[in-house]
Amino acid sequence: MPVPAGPAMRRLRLMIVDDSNLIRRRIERTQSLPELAVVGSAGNGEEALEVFRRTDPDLVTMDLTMPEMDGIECIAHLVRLKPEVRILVISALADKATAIDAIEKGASGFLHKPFTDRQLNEALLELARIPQHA
Amino acid sequence: MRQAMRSPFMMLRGRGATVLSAVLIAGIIGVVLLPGYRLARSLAASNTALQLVSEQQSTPELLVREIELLRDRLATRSYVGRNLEELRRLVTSYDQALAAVRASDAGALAEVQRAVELWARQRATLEPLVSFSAQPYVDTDRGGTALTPDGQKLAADARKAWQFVRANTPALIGQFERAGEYLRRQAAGGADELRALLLSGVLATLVLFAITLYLQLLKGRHERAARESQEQTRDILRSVKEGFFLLDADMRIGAVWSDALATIFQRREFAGLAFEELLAGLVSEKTLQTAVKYIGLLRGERAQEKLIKGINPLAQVEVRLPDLGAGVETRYLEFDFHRVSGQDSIRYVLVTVVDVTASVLLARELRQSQESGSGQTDLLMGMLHVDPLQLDNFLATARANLKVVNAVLREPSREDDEFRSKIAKIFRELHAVKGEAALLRLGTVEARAHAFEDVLQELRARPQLTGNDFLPLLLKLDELLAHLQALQEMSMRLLELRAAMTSAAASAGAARGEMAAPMLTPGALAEFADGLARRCGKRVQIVTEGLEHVPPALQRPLGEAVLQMLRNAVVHGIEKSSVREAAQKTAVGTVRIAFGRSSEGCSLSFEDDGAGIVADTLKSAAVRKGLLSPEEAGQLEPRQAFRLIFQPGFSTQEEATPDAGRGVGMDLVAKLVRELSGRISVATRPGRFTRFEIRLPAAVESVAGVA
Repeated sequence: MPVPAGPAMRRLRLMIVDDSNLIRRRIERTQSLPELAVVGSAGNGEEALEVFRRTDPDLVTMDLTMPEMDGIECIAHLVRLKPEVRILVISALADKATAIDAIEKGASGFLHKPFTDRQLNEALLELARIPQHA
Repeated sequence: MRQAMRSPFMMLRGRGATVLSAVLIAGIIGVVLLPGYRLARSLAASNTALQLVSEQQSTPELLVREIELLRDRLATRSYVGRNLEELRRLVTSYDQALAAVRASDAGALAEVQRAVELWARQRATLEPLVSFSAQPYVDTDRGGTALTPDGQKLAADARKAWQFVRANTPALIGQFERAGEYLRRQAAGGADELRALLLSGVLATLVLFAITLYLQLLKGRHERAARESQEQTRDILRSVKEGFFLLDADMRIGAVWSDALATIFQRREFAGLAFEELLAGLVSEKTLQTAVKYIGLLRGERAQEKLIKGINPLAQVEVRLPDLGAGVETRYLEFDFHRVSGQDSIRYVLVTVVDVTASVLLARELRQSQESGSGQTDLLMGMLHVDPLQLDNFLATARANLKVVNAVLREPSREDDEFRSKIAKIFRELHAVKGEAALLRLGTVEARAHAFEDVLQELRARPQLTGNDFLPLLLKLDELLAHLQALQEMSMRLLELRAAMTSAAASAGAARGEMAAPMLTPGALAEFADGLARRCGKRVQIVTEGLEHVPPALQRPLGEAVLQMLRNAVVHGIEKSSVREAAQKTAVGTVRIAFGRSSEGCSLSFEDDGAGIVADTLKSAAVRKGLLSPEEAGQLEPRQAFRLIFQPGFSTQEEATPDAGRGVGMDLVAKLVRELSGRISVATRPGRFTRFEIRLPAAVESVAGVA
């Protein structure tokens, strides 16, 4: 997926990780921020790492319960690979403690499933707005 | 905020005023006091000089007279010692006066210079007189006194001096007068100047005083403003309903908190209290740990505050707090956490606590009253179209069913299969209640029975069962019984209403007539089938035959059986119109129910022209449910396969709806038939029809009603 060149023109690159095809497509279709470009998606943690290395995204939406490697472990890996990456956990998990674990591992925020289009866009905008970490 | 912005500004003004007053003080010292001092000194000197000048004004003339006196005395040979003495005194004092005038401001004056010159010359002529110390006279023999040579010289000097002094005196006096004049003017000017200086000094002092006053005022106002803002902060903290406090890096409460906190937590001291101590015992250990972790996230830089609000574990928590008496009460608290950033890091976490017990309870009450409100309305609406006697009949039957459920629940049992058979029994009874309720369109009863079934279903899915698992069922049973009681009461009232409106005799007669056929009437069955078909998106018609011959004793059991079969037929058997038309069938499905009597007994035939039953579908459903192994299923004859539908817990429908799909239907029918010592058989042809035949022996007709 081509991304406009040049630092001024560079849009933030988004990767979508979710084991449900439906949710992945939903996020991809719903997100309507001009500053974002979806550069890749993955259905499990292993695949996410592979896509991450290839596409070097700035933002990631991350499901927590996935086969192969779960979201929390995947977050830890991604942050190790690229400390400045910003991750939004999108999960239906009712257990807040697990969500907090995910944030502790380095994610920046949490969005509860099911979400409305508006909620998703607002969360992504908020995520894109966080100043880059040194 | 406002306070913080104002105070540096005020400090700047205060500093400016301080600098100004320092400059003023230096100005007063440099411009007023020092020159004033100098001026006063020179004024004093001028005054002294002026005094000397006026004192010595007559000295030159005195000198002339004294010299004249000296000359006369010398001529008469009188004593001159005193004259000489006086001369010396005059000369000395004039010397001194002149020296003083020279030292004064007037010293530089031409007049004074001139006077000094004149005096110097005069002084020179006077010198021999002043310094004379010899004997002027000598006594002679010729009698009398004669001048000694010294005396003669003195006399000559005196003459010379007199001539000079007399000539010089007016000039000297003139010069002196002019110097005096000057000094007088000088003194007057100096006094004016001093007055002006003093005046400006007074003014400057006044300004200084004013500035000091202003500074004091400013300081007072500043202090008042600070005090006011402090009081306002205090007022805010005292009157807000929310509990506010700050948590520092060690998660301890800061020195300031709102008074509401004391009310919420029923304690007085909070300063330095650890957050965990505050909540210890109020919430579960796990919640507390999660909360501490959550606050930790806020202290970190990575998480975005807005994006983690949703996982705040204390967003609404139930806590057990001591009430005003000695006991504890359950309250609901809402915690909110905000970052408070310092220069370059997060300094505090601001915590807001609100007691939302009232609104939580209110919301719950509202929900309940809405539910019960709509429940009551539903109940009433449902009952209005049911004949009161039919309803009465239903209530009696339902109570009997629930009595069985109660008995089953109280049966002692230990083994897992015992538990499971209990569940199956309860299920059948409930299903009968649900079926009749649906027939009478008593939605509220139907929904409760369905909810009960949900619980049973859930129990059935558990791998292991214990006696405790049945406790919730007792609760559900009580609820259902209470609901039936409410129905009973309402029905009574409706009956009274009717009784009041129609004549008692007519009502009684009608009641007796209808009692015989409460359920198995073509109208009731058609109504039930219509409702069911509508919910399934299908169309169906009922054709009946001989139902009026069903003996009263068989009304209930056969009614339940027909109901169940009708339910199965509409949900599983009859196809949707589009499917039927595609298969060259009529759009509206038909169900035929026929009752007949013979010498051997009676029979009921139930037939629908729906999809029929496919043996393989039944087999695979049985395998899926674990009722059969795949091998067993493979060996099963189609006739045997059809009998699967009479097994407890069998259904081919995946999703349970109130209308069908729990698979309990046909086993209930089978049970009813067994209880009547009858037999049931099934015949089907895929795509064409399904037919059930029930045969009952003649003897049961009279017995069933008693059972």
